[in-house]
Amino acid sequence: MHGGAPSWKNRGLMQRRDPDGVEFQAIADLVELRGGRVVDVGCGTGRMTLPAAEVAASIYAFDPNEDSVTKARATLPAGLRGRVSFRVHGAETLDVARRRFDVALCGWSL
Amino acid sequence: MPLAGVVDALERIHVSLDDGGAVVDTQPVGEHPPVFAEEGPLGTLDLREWADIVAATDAEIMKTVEAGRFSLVGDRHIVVSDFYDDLAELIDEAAGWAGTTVPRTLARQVDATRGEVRLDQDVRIRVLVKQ
Repeated sequence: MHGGAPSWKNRGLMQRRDPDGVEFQAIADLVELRGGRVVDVGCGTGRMTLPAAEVAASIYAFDPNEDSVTKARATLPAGLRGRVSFRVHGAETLDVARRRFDVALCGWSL
Repeated sequence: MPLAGVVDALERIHVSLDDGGAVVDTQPVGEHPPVFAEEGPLGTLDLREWADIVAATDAEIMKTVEAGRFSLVGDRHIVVSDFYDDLAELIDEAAGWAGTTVPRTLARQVDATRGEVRLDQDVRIRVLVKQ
């Protein structure tokens, strides 16, 4: 883990945290996201939202930080926008009467 | 998230999940995540205070398990790497993280360290299934 030559040079990083998507891949190995209805709790700038949107049927992504949600929305490719609903609010106002999900992603957010 | 908010969030998530639905909870749990430059290791951050926050959060989560709302079905650890243009950028970012301290031994190396740095964090992934 800690040895060897650094491997991150010249990879044209788009994302500073986990650019290789190790965390999302591990999650996808543990739970079925394909075709599911996913809620991304505390989505931040959308680190998990984007890869989840590539496989899930729908994503409801929310975060109380408006700037983060704006960034997340901006980084989502046009082809995936129909699957993702971004909202600015905290978990305390999640509308449980109207929303049904198969998976809740809480990435560094609980 | 404040501790009281964790309980409320889990309650709301529980209601909004269909039967058999899953919560995936990921958290950095290492107390001393290492920092590397191209030349080698530079030291570690101090996340002991953060670890205390995670432990308190875990206790709240386990209450929902004991109450029969969720069952814990998976627990796995991975290493997640963050990358920064230089050590100064990492220290600047880490200064804003909850429960995180930058040791002087690491901070003193800012002027002597050039180029990108990597922070490796031990991240725990847990899966809770709605009962």
